Amino acid sequence: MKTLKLRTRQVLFALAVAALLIFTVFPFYIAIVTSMQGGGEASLYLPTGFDLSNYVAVFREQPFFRNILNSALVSFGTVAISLLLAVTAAYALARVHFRGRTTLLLTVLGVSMFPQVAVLSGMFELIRMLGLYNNLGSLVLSYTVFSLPFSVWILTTFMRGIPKDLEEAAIVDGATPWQIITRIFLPVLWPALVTTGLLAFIGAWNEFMFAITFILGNEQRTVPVAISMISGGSQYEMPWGPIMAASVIVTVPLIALVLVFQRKIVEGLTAGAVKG
Amino acid sequence: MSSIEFVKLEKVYKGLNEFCAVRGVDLQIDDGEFVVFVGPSGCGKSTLLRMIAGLEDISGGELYFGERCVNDLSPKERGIGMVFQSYALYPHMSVYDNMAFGLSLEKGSRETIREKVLEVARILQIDHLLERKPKALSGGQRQRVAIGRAIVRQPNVFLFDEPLSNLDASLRVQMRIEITKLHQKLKTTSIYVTHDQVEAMTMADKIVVLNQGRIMQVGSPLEIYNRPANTFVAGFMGSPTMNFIEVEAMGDQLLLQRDSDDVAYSMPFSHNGAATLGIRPEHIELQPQRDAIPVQAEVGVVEHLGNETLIYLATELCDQPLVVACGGELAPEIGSRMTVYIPLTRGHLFDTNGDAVERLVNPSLS
Repeated sequence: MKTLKLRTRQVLFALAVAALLIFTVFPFYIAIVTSMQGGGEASLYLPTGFDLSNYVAVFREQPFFRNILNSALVSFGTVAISLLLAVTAAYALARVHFRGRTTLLLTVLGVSMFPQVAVLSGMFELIRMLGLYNNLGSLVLSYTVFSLPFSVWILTTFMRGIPKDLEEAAIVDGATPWQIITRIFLPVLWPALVTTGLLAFIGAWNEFMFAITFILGNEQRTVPVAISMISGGSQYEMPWGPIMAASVIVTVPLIALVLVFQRKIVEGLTAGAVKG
Repeated sequence: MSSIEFVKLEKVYKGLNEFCAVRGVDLQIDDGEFVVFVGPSGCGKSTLLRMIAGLEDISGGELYFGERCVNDLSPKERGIGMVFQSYALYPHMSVYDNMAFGLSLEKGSRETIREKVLEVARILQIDHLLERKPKALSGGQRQRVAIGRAIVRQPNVFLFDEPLSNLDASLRVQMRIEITKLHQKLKTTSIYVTHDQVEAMTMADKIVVLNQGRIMQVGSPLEIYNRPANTFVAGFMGSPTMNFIEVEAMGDQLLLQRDSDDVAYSMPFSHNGAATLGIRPEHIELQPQRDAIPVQAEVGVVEHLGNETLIYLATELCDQPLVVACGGELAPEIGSRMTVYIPLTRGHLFDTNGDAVERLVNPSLS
């Protein structure tokens, strides 16, 4: 009797896991399968061949390599600036006692709840005023603005978890503030920096709305917009093959990055949850 | 190596309510002394230590290391080494790098740094752990690394901030002895902060008892124990605590506040008015003594510690139970009546302010 109950539970558990797995992996599986097929057919569930012509087409029909480069430039730029600003802000918010500190943190959190669409027109005016229209700098600016709230939050929490006497021990050893930051803080903060950096990178890499609004020319486009502009044989055909091929090309580096850093990501996200 | 002098040292925290953590502390510490600051939580001992270290600003008064006034100098410039309660080892660095960190900032040559670190590691017996990270070490080993990190820069003054509180009891005893041996070897002026009076008694050349930001008494361990300057010190040092009994003094005669008799006992003190008699549990006798106050009592609680037995007696003398410490073989029954004797030659007298009254004739300190 007991074994049957246990067995049933195990089977249900396995089914639930399988369902979750299929739900998350299936779209990517479809993308890979479709990218290996020719023509404008909708997806078939099983790969019929191993045809790389779609991949070649992607690079031939548009300056895709240039687009990838643009995306990379924007994403890395966003990450660098975000991290620099977030680390310094987190130090002040975690370590320095000043009036209005909690209010400031809550405001930062509140700002992150704004939908992008609400600020679009305002951002457009700002970009035009700064002369950044059709310039990749406009994207770096916009993405930094939107990635700072969660970056500051994660890093502040992590910094709070660093015991104060670690800093004091370094002071007693004779370290200058810069030496404390570079030789003590940064190495200890490394998991949180990786998490924040990766989240900011992914956000910037996949972003569509600002990218299509602020960038005009083909050469300056970033990847999400470039993929949306891929056109097929006639105006009635959706070129699923090349579209999927482009998507696979663009997603694989992200997956690789996450797999490499997965342990650090978990560390970073759970940092400060348990006092060690 | 240097002596330390505090002149009216003060620390005030400004905020919504001004809080004076350390009030007008004067102290003289000789070169090479091992001084222990002891006191209950919140008495200001850690604040005082951090002021000496340079981690807290000094609100008032002066601090001298030898002839130099060090109020405005950074910790590094003062030449101090500090061992923190939580050890504060750099988690991402190996034991070797932890100890070499301070030296590497001074830009010495690789070889000299290596020599110094290896020497200290050998003294502390951690030379086989040099490649490990702190998380792979036990509590005692981490503590040794923390001490090593402080020693390796050859500072003028060592500061210890409750370093043994995170260790279990047997390890604490072991490390206590090791720190004492280290001090005998290196002879650096050391200041040690603890709330554990056993550590204070066993390790110190000089004990400073603190309460609420003020120094209550300074003296050698036996002085503090046998001649406490006030009721606070008398009650804080010694476990179990000294018994306090309210009495009435008239010249060199003592009157107890109990209904049964009006007998006056002669005491080795000269005082007039209300006073407090203090007697340590181990000094209360079970056999009749000359010049001792007999006390009828009923046994309340008996605690067997193995080497000694503690008996808590209910008496007419005071509301609190009278605690008697006697040999471990004794096992009185709870509820039984017994007579104990308080020898006044071993007692202490305190006036209504809590200050000790001078003893007229010194008892033998055996």
